[in-house]
Amino acid sequence: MRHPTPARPDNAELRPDARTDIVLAISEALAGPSDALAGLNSILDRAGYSEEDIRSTFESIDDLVVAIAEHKAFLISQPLARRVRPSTLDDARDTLIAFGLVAWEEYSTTLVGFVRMMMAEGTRNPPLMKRVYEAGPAIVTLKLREFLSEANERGILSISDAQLYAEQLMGLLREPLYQALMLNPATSQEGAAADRVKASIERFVHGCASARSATP
Amino acid sequence: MSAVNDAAQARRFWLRRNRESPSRLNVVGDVPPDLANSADENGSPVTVDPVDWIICFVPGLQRQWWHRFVDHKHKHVFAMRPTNTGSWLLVEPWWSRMMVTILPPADAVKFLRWGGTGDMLRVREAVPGKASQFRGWSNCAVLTAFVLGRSSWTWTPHGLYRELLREKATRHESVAQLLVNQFANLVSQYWSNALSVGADQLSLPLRELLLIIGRNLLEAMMTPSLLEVCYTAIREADRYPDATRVYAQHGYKPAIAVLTKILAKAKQAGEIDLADCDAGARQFLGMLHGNIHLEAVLQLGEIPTLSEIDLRARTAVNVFLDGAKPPTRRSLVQPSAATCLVGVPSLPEGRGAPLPTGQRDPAFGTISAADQSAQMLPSRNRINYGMKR
Repeated sequence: MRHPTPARPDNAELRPDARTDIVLAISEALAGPSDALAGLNSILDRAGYSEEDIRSTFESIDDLVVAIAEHKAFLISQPLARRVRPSTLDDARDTLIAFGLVAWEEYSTTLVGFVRMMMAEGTRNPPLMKRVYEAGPAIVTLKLREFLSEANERGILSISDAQLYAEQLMGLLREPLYQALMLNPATSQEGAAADRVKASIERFVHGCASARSATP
Repeated sequence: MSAVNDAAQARRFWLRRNRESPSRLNVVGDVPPDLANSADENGSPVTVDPVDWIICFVPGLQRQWWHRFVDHKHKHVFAMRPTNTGSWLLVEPWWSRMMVTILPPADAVKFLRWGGTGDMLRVREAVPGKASQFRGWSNCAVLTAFVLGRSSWTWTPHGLYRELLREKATRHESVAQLLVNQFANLVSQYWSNALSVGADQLSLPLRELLLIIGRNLLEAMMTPSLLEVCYTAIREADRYPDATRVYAQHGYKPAIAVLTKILAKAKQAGEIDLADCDAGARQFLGMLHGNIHLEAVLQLGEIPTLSEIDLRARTAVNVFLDGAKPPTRRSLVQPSAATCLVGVPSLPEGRGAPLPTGQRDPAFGTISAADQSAQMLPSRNRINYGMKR
């Protein structure tokens, strides 16, 4: 059994938030240098946990991976959860920008490693890939869809197909993920990230708002 | 050897078989006369030009008792060649069978990596060949020599390696270079087709032009062959970064460049208000990706139908362009995104009308005869926006 990193408490399995500790530590490890080849084991190793550590806290390694996906989905969709019912166009725009910034940050860092890891593990364990997708990206898209539907119902945005619009906005925010996966190592865009997200969201909101203003 | 060569070979064969009109009456037994009379000089019903094979001389994957009797690095040999869909044809002699199969790119990489642990030679097969079935003891070296049509008398992979190396045309290959070549050929072929539009379409309103390109791009990127190559490119990014970069360089980058050109032209004409056309192009491409591309790459979702692709492309175009309207236009009454869904005529194939060779659009370039002939039949008569193949 590998010795855990000093930051991790020795009695992790006894604490109620041991799961959170492990999820956070592994999320941090995912943000490290890319290591698509070794898959999950090397990520666990980097986070300072052994398979036994994980099994003592989670029912299986698969459950840990799903928990990480759930954690990321929760993190990304927080801005949407804080403002479920937008009241004005500015309100909707600000919420979407806050959401976009978190998503962009995650797609630039930890989710790159996570997707790579999933691709490595997915060939050995296809059902896990499906579980992770449903616990992560699908949930974020669902939250975004609900937000857009609400904005549509309140007459703020014109959203004819909330699911489709949500998927397209997610695609727009995944630019850094594609950059990192395809142009390895990722081209750095950190300095301009906020501006890029704002511009992207502005375009999307304008696109939906101008359609609304034209609707008889 | 490459995908492009395969296509060229197919075209040559097609032309040749139309020229030849066999009139021999050399029918045997119950064989249909048309088949018997169409046999070529080698007795084959079809004539296929010789192709290159990648011959992999490899150490064993698992230790075996006889390994001590053969060369330390060349204990086994098998043959591979890429197809024009991103997959690879594998011919691997086993003790108990001959494995002949088509491998998707991600699986082919495993065999290529194995090949990379030994030596990989590019060798052209001989047709009709000089090998003989009387050789006996069909081990891997003998069978591979047979695949190549070589009259070899060696019994070992290393012996065959040395024999092939003595041929002037034989070349060493590396896994990275093979992947780079294959990715470049395949990705260029699909994406350049997607980015080509008829000259008559260039005069279409921006919304319709973007719709045609968006639909073509989405259709191309959701092609199973390209999805498999994309999956492989991402998976192998650490091991073969050049191959992964080639995927981006021959796919995304030209697409961004073409879209940027179109948006810059529209901006100049006052049709859209974009501070950064390059960023706008990336946003549009991202919207086209949506969730479906990632789902498809991860092998989770279904491949969308043409009508689903059409709907996604239309929605992306409408939201993007409505969001990029100049300030003065934003206040004008514009059709809603939903209205626009029926505002643009549907082009089920997303393909342009025929275009006279050499017709030029000042912003984007010229159709060359070479461009046209290099493309697959359905893509003829399209302008290629300055992409290099």
